[in-house]
Amino acid sequence: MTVGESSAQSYELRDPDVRLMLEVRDDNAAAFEKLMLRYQSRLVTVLEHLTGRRDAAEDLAQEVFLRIYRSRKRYVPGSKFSTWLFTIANNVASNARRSRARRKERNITPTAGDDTGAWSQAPLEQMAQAKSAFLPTRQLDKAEMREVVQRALETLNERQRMAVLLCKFEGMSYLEIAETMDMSPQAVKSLLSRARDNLRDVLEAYLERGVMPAGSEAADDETEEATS
Amino acid sequence: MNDDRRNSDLSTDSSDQQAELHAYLDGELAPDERSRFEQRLAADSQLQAELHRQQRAWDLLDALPRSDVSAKFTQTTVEMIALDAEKELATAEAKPDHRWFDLGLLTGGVLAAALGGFLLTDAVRPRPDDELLRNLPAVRDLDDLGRTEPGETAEFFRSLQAANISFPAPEKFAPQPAPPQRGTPGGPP
Repeated sequence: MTVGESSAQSYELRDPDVRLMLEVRDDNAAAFEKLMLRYQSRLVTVLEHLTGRRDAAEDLAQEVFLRIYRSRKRYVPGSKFSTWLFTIANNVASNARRSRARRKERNITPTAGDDTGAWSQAPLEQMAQAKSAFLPTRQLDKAEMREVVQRALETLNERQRMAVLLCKFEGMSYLEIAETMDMSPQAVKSLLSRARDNLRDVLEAYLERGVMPAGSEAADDETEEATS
Repeated sequence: MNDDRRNSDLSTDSSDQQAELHAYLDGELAPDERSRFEQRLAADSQLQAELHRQQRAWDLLDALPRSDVSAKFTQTTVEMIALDAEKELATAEAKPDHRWFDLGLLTGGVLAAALGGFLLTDAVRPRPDDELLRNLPAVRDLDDLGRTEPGETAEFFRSLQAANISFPAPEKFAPQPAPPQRGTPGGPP
């Protein structure tokens, strides 16, 4: 028995979702539906916070499920199912971001409200003002806090954001995040450490001095992070 | 120059320490690293304050909403995948069934290869009949050759000797004495 075979068997034994995916490989539609129901909300949550848009997140999530279905015949368990699924999600989101950036480059005079290019971000001040006109104080506090945290998240570059979301929402280990994002665990450790520092700076500024997060995506330091 | 290097080293040390603190919060330190970090934490009030600030900022992320997808999303996804599966099936069916053609082609190929090999081997291999074929004229005239008189053959060898070809004539081909005449001593009665 080869190492690959024993590893595949080990994942099959440990992870029920791997077993379901093996049934999908054998054209079991019910197994695919089960997997979808288990993961669709988790996937849309991560993609929504990654893109900042619900509709884009749902489109990307459908693309992820479609890719999983199309690659079912080639599926060999090499990791937990969730790690495999979020690896596909990371690739799909990166491709979408790149193609949006290319469209933005072509469109040199974007109109107001144009959502091409980087994921669209409405100004926090506008949102806070709009909400303050309608919501009671207690709700406003919660809503405002949510908006501030969302804006703080948007100050991170996409890689930092993805790592934070996988760590916070999916409870992935550094090793699993590394596998999902095709990085070394050491690089993930540095990436998450910088992301946490950035979040703390932005959120402390709001909590202590009422300074709203700028909301613009951080300078892309992917090259540095990928090589560290 | 030295100041720059010192600042860089301090910065690296600082980022390493931050990364260690974050790894501690994420439960990513090995047991011995964790134990060392906790000893340091117990003795360092600044580190404790930094740990609390980091933890508070991280906990604020809990304010982010979890998405709950609608039944419509599930339905449209299933429909989209069903359509894709249908297309996949249609593409597979549109392709002509090459199985029998491929099998025939394979069989023909094997037979052609076998025949070719047989012919090649047959052409190269020496056959016992070759010698006979080469000597076919002689074999055909064997009866005529058998009727050759001894005297004629002896004449042939003698002509070879006359031509200085060293091919000693056998004794039996030497000129024979004349047979005794009837009525002479030793002759027939």
